[in-house]
Amino acid sequence: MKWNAQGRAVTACFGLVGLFSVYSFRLVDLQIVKHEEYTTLAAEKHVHKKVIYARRGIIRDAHNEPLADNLPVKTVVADASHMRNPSAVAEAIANQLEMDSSELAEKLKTGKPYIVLKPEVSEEVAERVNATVQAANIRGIYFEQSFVRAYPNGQMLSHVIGYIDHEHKGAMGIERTMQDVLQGADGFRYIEHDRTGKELVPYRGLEKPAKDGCDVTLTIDLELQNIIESELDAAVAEFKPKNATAIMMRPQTGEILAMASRPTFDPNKPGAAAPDQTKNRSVVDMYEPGSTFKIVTTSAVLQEKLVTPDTTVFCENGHFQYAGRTLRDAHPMGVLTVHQVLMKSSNIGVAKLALQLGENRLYEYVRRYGFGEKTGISLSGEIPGLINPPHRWSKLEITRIPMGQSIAVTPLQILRAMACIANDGKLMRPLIVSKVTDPSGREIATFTPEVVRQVVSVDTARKITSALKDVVSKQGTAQKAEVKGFSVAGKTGTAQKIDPRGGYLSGHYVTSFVGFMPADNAKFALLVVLDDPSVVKGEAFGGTVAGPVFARMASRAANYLDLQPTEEIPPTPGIQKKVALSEASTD
Amino acid sequence: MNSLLRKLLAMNWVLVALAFGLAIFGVLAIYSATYMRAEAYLAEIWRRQIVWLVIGLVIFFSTALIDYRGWLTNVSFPLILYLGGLGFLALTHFIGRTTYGARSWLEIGPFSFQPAQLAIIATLLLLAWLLTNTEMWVGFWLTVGRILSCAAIIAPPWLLILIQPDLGECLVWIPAVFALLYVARIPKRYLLVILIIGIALIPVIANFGLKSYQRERLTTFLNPDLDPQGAGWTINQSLIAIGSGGFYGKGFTAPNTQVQLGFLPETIVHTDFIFAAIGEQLGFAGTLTLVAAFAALVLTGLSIAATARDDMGRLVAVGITTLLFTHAYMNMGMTISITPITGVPLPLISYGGSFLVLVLFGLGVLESIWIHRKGSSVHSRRTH
Repeated sequence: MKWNAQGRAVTACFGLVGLFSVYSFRLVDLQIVKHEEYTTLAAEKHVHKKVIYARRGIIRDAHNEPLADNLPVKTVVADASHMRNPSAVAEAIANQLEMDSSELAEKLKTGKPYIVLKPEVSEEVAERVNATVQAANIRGIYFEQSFVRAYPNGQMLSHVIGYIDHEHKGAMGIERTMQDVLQGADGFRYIEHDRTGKELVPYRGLEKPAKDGCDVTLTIDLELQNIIESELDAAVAEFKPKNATAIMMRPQTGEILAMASRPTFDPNKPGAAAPDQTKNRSVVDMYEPGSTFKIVTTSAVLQEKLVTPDTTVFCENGHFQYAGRTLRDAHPMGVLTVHQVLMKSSNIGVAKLALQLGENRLYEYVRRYGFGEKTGISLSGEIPGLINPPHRWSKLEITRIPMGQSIAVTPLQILRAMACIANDGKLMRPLIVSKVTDPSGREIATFTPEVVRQVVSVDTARKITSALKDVVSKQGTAQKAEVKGFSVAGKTGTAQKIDPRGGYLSGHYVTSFVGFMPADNAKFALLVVLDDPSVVKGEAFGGTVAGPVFARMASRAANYLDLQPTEEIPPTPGIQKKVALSEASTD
Repeated sequence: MNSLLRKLLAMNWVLVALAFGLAIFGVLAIYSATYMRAEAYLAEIWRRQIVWLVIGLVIFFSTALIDYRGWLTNVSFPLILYLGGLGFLALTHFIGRTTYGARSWLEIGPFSFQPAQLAIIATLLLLAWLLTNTEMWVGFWLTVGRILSCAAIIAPPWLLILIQPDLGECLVWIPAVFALLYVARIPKRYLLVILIIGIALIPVIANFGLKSYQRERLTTFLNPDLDPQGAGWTINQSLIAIGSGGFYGKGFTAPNTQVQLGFLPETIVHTDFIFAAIGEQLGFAGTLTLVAAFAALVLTGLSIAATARDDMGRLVAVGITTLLFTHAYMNMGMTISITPITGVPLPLISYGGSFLVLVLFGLGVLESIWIHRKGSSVHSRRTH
């Protein structure tokens, strides 16, 4: 046990030093040579870019009722780089996510650190999945906050509000035209997760906060909209038209108070809607306006001082030969004053007035009333309508255009022209957005009424109004558009439908009524268009179909707006009965 | 009192400094690996280690100052310790706590410890006594008899540990046993034969004796990138932590480390994988210091063995030193993917009160062997 053992101890020492040196070499390899490689690995294990979704702006009506809102939802995301058993994880949560577990497992097996498993999961489902994940001690499943668009009023105002597509971009209506202010800007954050998938707050990485979208306030009054929509539904049920449109506008400002079309759709389920249902006919459809267009010619000849309201026109007893064709009146008439031409809606009378005016001046007034150009309203897909310039007219046009044929206009254009009369001849730019407010509540844009031009003088407008008041009377064409206690000014329109193969379709009409109320201090202008109503032949007139619908809408609107009756209520039993009936059927 | 002071002055201060330094380093490492945990138990665990360190130091100095020849050379102490160890092992088999598939922890009141660690030390002490007292057995049959006697002592605790099953604790003292046989002058050819028989048995044990998780650990060790989400998870995270530490590390208690984020499982990062936490936070500078410190500790232990007064002292010193070495070597090795993953703690560094106390006891014995070495001033005064 002397030298021998000591020698062995020395050998052992050298052996030990050698063994420890192996570790030193390995540590040099790991911590110095491959340092960069492992640093990269360490970083990519738990850092990823996370989108912070911007809140889309809310669309509200004039009284701040929400029309388009956001519902909080969760996006279920997985970090599969931490996952030991993807199949078991998929198995555990597939049911609650209503997904196929094998499909889910495929996704997880990619091992990527950021996998979107399912977007737009409701808070309740997310809560349940989270509970499952916690109970099973599964790591790497987490939830991101996002939003889905929700339209609390369903179909109401759907064409105006529009909807958003799957990329969260506005696809139609205000959602589309105000996309830039509504959408805001998504932010991002480079975040870290610890091993349990919990987000680590104090990471000092790059971050850009989300910029929430701005809120948009409309000029629409949801209560008036409700009246218009429910009455339009009632009219659709009664007359079964191919489609129907109603718009209400405040004449003095051009603000749209209500706007509805049928057929309609639910913006919460835009995928379920046929293209026909999503059309906002107020601005994307054009039609021959028919007699409602007569206000253009009559106001023009008065404005040009070619006639006075009392100037007489011979109406040819219902048969007027011009340019080799016969122009007819529905009811043959003899000598009428200009006032009566409008009141009785004589085609021959208005044609003769247009001949006095001449092609160029007629065209000029048509354009001055805003026909043939977009109104500039903030709604998607607006069309200008179709007005040919005089050099492309045939000889007949001068007699056809005054009665609303050979041209095509949008419902909004007709309403605006009528509102122009109600507004003492001032044509307004239609307004649908009143203001834009940023997320802090500061108004960043307000849209004030804008006069496009003085189309006719105040005097001319008043004269036309006087004639239009008589339209809604026993002598006029639209007695059924009367509203108890109020003087109504308005004009009927009954246009034969154009046959796609040329000419007109007999027995198919677009019936309309456009007017304003109270006649001498209009609170609203209202248009009702029913396309091809199913009624007994010979009954499809603007005055008999659209007129009563107008009356019901106007009556309820007056009630809601608390308008003071301007007329004494005549004690006619028939009228009282009619009003009582209409109220019973609508309320 | 005078002789006690003389003994104190005669201590191997290199050993004291290394042991104390490593233990303090260990407390800091445990703190840096657990201070951020949400559970109060884990976050406060470093305080417990300090308490155990204080207890361990008392045992260390007591053991060091008492002459080992009084109680160690006598068979009764090693034998009692050995039988006690066996008893605890047997008890563990029935009432032990099961962690990670092995029933290896015994809970007595608020304390829990691994009886295997106690049994290993006890067995090594008994082996040293046996080998010392059979030194005159030379010649083939007597040598075989010596080896078989050793085997008879080793077999009961070894098998009890094997059926827990704790592969790490089974492997960790095989080198110490060989070292004892070697230093006790068993001729090399016998050791070679034992080694060959052992190696020949490996495939058999691997196929029939190992649990599936143990086999998995072995395959993982051979190829950690095979299944990074599965069994290779821990070792890969350990490599990433150490590798991303670089030369100077990310800093003591640095934020957003793999350790802090829990990528290294928070249940083992302060025990078996403490070396990875050190590697990440203190870098190559830290790990190399640690490796060097352990090398120095082992060399000090061996130098103490070389200067021991008698064979018993020499054998005990070699056994303890080799056991320390194997623990350190296997633990550090597994975190850098050089040795298989076995749950063997890093002496003086890993969290674990009972093991720390046991290690300090072993170092106390080493110190005692040094103080009472031949030519020591303490000894010469006493014999005069």
